[in-house]
Amino acid sequence: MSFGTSTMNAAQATGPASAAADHGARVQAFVREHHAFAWRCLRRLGLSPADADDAAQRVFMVAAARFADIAVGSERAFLFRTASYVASKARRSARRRPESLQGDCAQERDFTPQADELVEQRRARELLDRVLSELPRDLAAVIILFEIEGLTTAEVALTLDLPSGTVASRLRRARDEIENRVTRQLARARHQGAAR
Amino acid sequence: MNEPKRWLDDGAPEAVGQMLRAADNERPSPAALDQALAGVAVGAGILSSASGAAGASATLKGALLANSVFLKWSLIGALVTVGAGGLAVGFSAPFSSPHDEPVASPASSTPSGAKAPRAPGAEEQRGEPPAPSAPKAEPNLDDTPGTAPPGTAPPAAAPPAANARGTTDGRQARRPMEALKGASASAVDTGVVDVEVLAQETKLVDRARAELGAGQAAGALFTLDEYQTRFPRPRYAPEALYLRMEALLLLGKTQAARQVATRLAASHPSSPHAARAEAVLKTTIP
Repeated sequence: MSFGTSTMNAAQATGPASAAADHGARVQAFVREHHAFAWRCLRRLGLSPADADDAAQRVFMVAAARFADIAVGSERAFLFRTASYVASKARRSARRRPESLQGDCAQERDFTPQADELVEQRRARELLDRVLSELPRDLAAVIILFEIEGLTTAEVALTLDLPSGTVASRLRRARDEIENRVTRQLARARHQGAAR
Repeated sequence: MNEPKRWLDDGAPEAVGQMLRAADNERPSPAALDQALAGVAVGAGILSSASGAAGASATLKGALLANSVFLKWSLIGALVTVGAGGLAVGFSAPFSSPHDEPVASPASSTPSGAKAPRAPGAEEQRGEPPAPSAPKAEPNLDDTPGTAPPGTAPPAAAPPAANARGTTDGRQARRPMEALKGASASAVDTGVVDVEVLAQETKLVDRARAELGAGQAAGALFTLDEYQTRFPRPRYAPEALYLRMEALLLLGKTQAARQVATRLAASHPSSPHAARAEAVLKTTIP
């Protein structure tokens, strides 16, 4: 069953105007429910907060256009796949943009009053994003979906169109890769700190 | 197969744990959600007008496909053809919707075609609430491009552009409204070509074009209203009229679009935009 099925039934029962309103309400509810997920995925796919805002809008415009095709239970799969495409376009666009114009509004987005914690979280996210950007996309996707967004391996398999066993093996490889890279990054940072 | 434990619960190194928790804690701003909601509302208008419900409107759009300006809109086509089952992206005709299911009509998704949420890039979406009687309350949908609509607040009624992102994101950089107003007035009064004013005019028209290119017709109309209000003697009048015509077409306001096209052809007959407008008119008026 897709989102559009019930909308069609509503159209027959109460007329096109009511169905359109119902459809609009469903789309809005869909956006509200999944916006944070899509936005965070876009962030982890390498976009700045400002670019993620714009990209999330595009993702949901696509979702609204294909609303009837999104099967119940596969919402996040659809959104992640769309986000991956939109993010790749946005990254190319950002590369063409002068660095001075590329928004990095991380500081604007944290509402935590504790400055130390805010800085620590930002550094941790920056490190994560750096590591994820260095990973092969297929491994990064598994980490984003399973470790950060909390999808099950079955959901990750559906999203990435992979067998569950492949998801598990990629997860192991991704963890190894991340651990190695983080260790190297931290060692490099310590070395640079000692050199100063 | 057993579900693997989350790394956080399975002995992740401290640094990795910090990274994952920090990522989990990150949230979009409320303005980002509003922006997405506005996008789907405007997008609904675009798709419904593209679905061919109005024959004349569809004909107009068909004619416009050959227009070079519309080639820039291929992104819309690319976006709406991203399939649910994959990322098969088509770069065919900009308005070729791959599905025919009914979608909200312009009238229902954007009541009166004039109350669509502000499109991305707009001030309202960036944390700048519109003034209660600001001219942006409704875009000008009728054929009055040369005069401010009745009840339109003067530029002073608009809030200062305190765009928080303006300093970090050059795409959103915008001058305060007061500065725009003053600069515009001085240029009109003196007749001297002020480079700064010209740059501001260019920026507004560019913004309208970009919004249109992104399918944000209502946003483009707001921007064109702003342009019209700020610059009573616009240097880009033909292009502004042309963009208005396209925006109206996107919203399914065929009659208003034809009026603008007629006005454009009459007031700027030598403009290349007028030639395009006439071509559009020929396809819609027997």
